[in-house]
Amino acid sequence: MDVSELMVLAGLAGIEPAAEEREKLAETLGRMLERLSDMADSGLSGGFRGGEAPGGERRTPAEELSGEASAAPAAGRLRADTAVLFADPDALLKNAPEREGRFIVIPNIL
Amino acid sequence: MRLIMGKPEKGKPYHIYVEETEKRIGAFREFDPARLRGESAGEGPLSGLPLAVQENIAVRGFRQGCGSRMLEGFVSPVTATAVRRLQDRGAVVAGTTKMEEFGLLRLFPDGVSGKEGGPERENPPGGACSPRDDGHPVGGAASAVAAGMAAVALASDGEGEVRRDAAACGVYGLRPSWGVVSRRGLASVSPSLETVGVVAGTAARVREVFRIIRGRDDGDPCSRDHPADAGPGGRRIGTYRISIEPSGEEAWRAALDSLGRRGFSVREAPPPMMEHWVPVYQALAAAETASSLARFDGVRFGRRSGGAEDPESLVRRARGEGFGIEVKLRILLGTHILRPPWRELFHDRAVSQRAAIRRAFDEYFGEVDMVLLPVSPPSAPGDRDGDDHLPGWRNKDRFNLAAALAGLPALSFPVTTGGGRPVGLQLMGPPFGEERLFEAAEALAEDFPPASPPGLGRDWR
Amino acid sequence: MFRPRIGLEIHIRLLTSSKVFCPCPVRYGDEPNSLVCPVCLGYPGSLPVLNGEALRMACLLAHALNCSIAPDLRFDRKHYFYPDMPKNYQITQVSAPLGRDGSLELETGGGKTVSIRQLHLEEDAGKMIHRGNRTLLDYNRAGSPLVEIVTAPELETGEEAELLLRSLRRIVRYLGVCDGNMEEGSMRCDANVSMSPRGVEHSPGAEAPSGDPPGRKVEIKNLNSSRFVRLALDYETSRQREILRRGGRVAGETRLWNEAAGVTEAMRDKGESSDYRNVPETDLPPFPLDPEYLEGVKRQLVELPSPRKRRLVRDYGLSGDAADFLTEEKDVADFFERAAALGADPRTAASWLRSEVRRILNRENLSLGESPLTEKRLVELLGLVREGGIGGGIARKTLEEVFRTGRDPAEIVRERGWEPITRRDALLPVVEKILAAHPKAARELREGKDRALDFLTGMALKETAGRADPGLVKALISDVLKEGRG
Repeated sequence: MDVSELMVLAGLAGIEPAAEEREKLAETLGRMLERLSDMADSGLSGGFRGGEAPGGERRTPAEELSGEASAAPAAGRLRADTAVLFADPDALLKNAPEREGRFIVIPNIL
Repeated sequence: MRLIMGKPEKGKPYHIYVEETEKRIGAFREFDPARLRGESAGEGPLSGLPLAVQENIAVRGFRQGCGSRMLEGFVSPVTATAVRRLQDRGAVVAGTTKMEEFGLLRLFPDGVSGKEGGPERENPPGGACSPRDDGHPVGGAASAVAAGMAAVALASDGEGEVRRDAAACGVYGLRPSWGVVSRRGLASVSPSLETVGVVAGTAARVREVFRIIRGRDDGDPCSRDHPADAGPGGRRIGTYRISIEPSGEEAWRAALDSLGRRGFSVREAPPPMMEHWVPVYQALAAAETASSLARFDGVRFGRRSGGAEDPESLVRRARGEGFGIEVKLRILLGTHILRPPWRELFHDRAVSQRAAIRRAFDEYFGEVDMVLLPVSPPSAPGDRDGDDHLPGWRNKDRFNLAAALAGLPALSFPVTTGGGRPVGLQLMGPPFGEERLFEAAEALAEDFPPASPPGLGRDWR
Repeated sequence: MFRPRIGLEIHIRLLTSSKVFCPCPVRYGDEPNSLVCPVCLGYPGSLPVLNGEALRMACLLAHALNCSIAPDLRFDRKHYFYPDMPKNYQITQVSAPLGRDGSLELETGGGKTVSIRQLHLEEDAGKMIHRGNRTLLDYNRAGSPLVEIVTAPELETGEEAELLLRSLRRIVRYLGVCDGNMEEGSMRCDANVSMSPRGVEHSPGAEAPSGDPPGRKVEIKNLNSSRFVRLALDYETSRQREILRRGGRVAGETRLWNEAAGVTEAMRDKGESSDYRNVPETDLPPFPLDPEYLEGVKRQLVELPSPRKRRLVRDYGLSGDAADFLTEEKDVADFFERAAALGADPRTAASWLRSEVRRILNRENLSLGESPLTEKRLVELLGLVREGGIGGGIARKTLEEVFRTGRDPAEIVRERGWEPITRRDALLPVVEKILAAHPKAARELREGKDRALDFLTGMALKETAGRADPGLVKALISDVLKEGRG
């Protein structure tokens, strides 16, 4: 991966890497992707050449991942519609880096 | 409260002990047992016991820094459920402990440019914990327990941090089944791969704490009660031959031997799909990390750099300066593999592959009741480590990843052989099989009694 | 030559008490950042917990729009960096929306039905207020429950879009899931407009040809009333037609409606990536929408405006306009039917509700439910008119008194001495007096000018403060004249 590709990716990820880091990041990422690629080719990360994934039935990734990190996932739960004010709202505002009254402030493009 | 507040029967007052020990160890980020003393029930099975909490787990009034510059100055307004449950049984939060940035192993020990991403890069703490042979510092949670500054610690385990640190310190570290301990308050980097874990000096203590913190929490929709009877009684231990360096090998044999003598049957049974664990974990962890860390942008909390003239550069600079290089790498990798066409090639397939791994373990635990694995062992000399400075690619860590991928419980325990230094091994079981892990660990403790921590630790029940 | 294909994306803010993933209150007008908590601020370690009422309302709406409902409720994360998104991802539904393939009837004479592509549940963003070189952020709204409805591009005019919004507004108000107020932002609408050549039939729900001339899709934003929707779409379809007529290409872009200028304008290009890197929301396990649960919700469905309007016309013989008025608000229709059940003549009741009652309610800024006018009182009043003989003027005065005092009409009439005068012997002197006072009119009447009768009757009514029975007055006038006495 070259630095210009890295910078596109970094833009998507909302990161501006320091100038000194860019080479290293690009290079390391490149190697990681190569490694993943190799493994995919040999079927190790799940990149199979034809045929089914071991274990049979196919499900969509969404089905696989949603709530199924646990072996026996919790069934979805609902919360009653009771409004409760947070106990310590000032603590929340105190964490804000910049404020104007009770608003949180960021710069605006003119 | 007698141990903290009252005059100790022998030895130094607690806080003096910690002050002195900290000069050597440096485990705590913030040490202040008085701060939340009022939130402890006072009475209960853990009455007066000091609890150390890794600083990515929320404790009201303490900085939840996660080891990152990004969260400088961020104070949590709430306390994590697991911590509160312990407070309700009498434990007192002694303080928060240091950690790697978001729990990720640093790969460039001297940084890339001298501009560091984390608050500081400490030398391995000496004294209570053996310096890690790979040069990485041990997390503060395990250090605090091993040095007798805390009776128990809560820390996160994504790719084995709890187990690895506990092993390095000669104490016990539990990674529970996924979903059994509420994650509310844990600043998760990869939610479906991470749990809140327990570190303590004995298996009995770990078990006691686990029983208190586990169970359904309305604040975490993924949490569930621990099924009552799954677990105890299993005595078939699976293992297999791997090539690790001599002291590790010695400990290995000694443990198997001990288990054999104590009524456990040991058989050759390599766990399934091992060669897949690292790449699948990598793909999923990266994607989840990119997602979970998106919220850190310097807008509502955390560190902002000055001089940004528009919201976009505000965010990019905050994240560029606030995250260390390992975190950046993982976020970038995760961002990349969620875009087409890589998404289908890696991420989605990794998801399917993970399900296959889980199913394979279901079958595997029909044959054995637990499996004995090393914890990040150094390889035998001459063996290729595959270390390459790629985050999380270390082959030696692969033994820790199965638990994350399949949501399995794993308990690391220390084995001390003639060489003197404890070696960490772990037992991993089927989902909700914690009880059988404790049983086995307690059996092993008869042959390998855990070192009692110096100082005040000796006075605790 | 070209036919517009318009689809709408409508966001509906649900009337829950608390937010969709945390218990913060959903309210307006509070101090900034006072209705927030670690969850809706995206703090590390916070976890979303689904509000059961938001789910119920979304299911109810999905049923009302005839959607087929997903077997379970699954959420996804849609990632983009924006200051009003606390987590820099939105929890929404991408892969498995709650409802699909529904329909909505437009309330026109033609009764066109528009397909609903999908309906899903998601969280709202916070508010940004731009002030010079800074932007102020208020997260009170962040995390409020939204239902997003996406229609197929089957609308063809601004008017149809306006009708669709109006129909939807009635439905959400009937169901009590939203107050449908576009000006206040309870309902927000974006539109997608493209043109396709006539004669090319697209199957319902198919995408407009994209990438090729002539029909590229343009998204229109900033439409905060159904009227603006109509105006903006009329403008935009003309604009696109004109471009195509000249042989140009319509650029696929996002445009804003500029109300002051009456035009749509291209938005400054944000270079926004449309790759949201969606992943399943692993913090929320899927919620099974089993048949039992859905049946329970379905039972809460009320008769919707369109079918109810048709039924009112059919069962009560009302005009379309009258039924339209009555079904605008569910509580008015309910009132009407209850009054009819108590014996009121439907047409009369409808007429009164539409005229006098509405006038007073608007003036006093009251809803029917809040007012002293009960069904029973209306029935009583109408009965007094029909059988008791009180005239229109007295009836109107009585109605005002009902509002003012909260008393029953019969009581009011009695107390104020407004009973009609219906006895010959009481009215005869009045008639004679009037005839004597207006000899010219009397003479004209004898000469056969009927107009004079109305005039004289009016005078008699005035003389009796509206209490005289007009019919009897007229009869008496005739009698007196016949007898040659006037």
